Amino acid sequence: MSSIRQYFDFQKVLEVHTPVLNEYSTTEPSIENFVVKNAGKFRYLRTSPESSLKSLVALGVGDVFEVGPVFRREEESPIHLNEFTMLEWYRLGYDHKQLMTDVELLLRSCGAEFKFTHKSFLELFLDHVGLNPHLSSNLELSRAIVKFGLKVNDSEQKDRSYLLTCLFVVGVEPNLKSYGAIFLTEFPKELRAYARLSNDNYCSAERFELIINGVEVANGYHEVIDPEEQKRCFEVDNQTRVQRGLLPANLDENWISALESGVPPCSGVALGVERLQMVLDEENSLCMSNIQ
Amino acid sequence: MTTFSTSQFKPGLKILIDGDPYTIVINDIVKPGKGQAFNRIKVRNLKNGRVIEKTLKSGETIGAADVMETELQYLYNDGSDWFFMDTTSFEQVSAPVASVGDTGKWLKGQEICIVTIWNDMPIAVVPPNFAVLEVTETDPGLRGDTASGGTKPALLETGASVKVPLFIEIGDLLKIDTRTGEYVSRAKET
Repeated sequence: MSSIRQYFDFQKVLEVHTPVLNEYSTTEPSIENFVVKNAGKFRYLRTSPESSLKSLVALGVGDVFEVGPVFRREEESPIHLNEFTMLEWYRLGYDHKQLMTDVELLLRSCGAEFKFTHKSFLELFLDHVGLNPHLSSNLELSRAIVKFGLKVNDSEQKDRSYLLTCLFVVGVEPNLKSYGAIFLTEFPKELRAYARLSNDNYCSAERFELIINGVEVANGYHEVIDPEEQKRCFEVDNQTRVQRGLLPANLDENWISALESGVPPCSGVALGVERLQMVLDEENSLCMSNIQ
Repeated sequence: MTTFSTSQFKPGLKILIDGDPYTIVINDIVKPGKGQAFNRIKVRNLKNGRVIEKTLKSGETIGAADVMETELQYLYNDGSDWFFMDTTSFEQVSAPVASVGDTGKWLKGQEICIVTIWNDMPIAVVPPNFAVLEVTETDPGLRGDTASGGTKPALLETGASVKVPLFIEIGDLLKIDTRTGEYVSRAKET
């Protein structure tokens, strides 16, 4: 933790604390908030500080970072806790590529000695399932999933983000343990979340994930700053939520008004601190065993 | 039929996959960034012991396998069926030779085995960890040679063949580790 603070202090990134209890729930289709009821009103424990940090960026505070607890209502596992520590930061004027370098520098200053490689979604899909994730039809994706022993029902066959995620889980992810630290880049536009779309052939999303020894450690975007575009992202999210039988979420007005007041071009990334600790410890124990 | 949801998964749970009974060895949750959750499980086929990996959507349900593990005493076999007895109820159970498999070569009678029963049919038999068996055939012993470390094959009373030290002679009782099939020591009595 002190290495993280030292790094950002040196980089002149401001540390902030934003509210843990929020007025709006997340719209993301696969994340659920813990809900708190008080005086007849619902409040939500944050699943990330994204909305608050963007409001600060809109106010003109410059580069910011926050490290603190976030909460997600989901099944726990060795790598999923209901409460975990998230480090999230924003860099003004950076695109996602510069931000990846930033992430790498931070990890090195925390003692990581990984070899970092970059792989696009396309490369990994071609290598492991033989399909182009940008161009393959839903039917082709479904067929590939069925080959891995999963069933695909009618509503899932229309849910392209589900099909891509599912095929990634069954076909690609099991192979990632052997890659060490990789930045997964150029996401299909259906998996853009809140990242900008690039103007390459596939309109791929300017989003990245850092996966170390098969564990997702960080997720970053070249951020959407156009309020209308962001609203469309939220609407797509809500459609997906309804399709999957979840309640639609109210649009986060604070987020939208932050964008309307003008957020400068920036990139932001969220990193799971416990997971980083975990992969660093694994690396250290490996070094130890090499010495012995 | 009883079913289990993925949220009930834990190691040791017995489930049905493609009509065969399996036991869960490892249950991992996979949730790629911003994506849905999946359970990735490693399962062991209770009939043949093979371990396979399978991925399910979280929230999916899967049938429970009506599998029981009981301690039964081995009685005898007639070549095609092996007979076991519950030592409290004296109820007898017959197991087809296929379910006994290799285990049979460590059994001569009266051993308490762990028998896996699925839909009232024994599907697997695990012998006690150690068996004491008599040598029926081996090359003449080299008396006193307890240090050279050489081995020779020996046939035991149940038909099992094991590698033994050179000083072992016909009629010796041997303690065998049934998990590895290796000689452990000489034994005084069964």
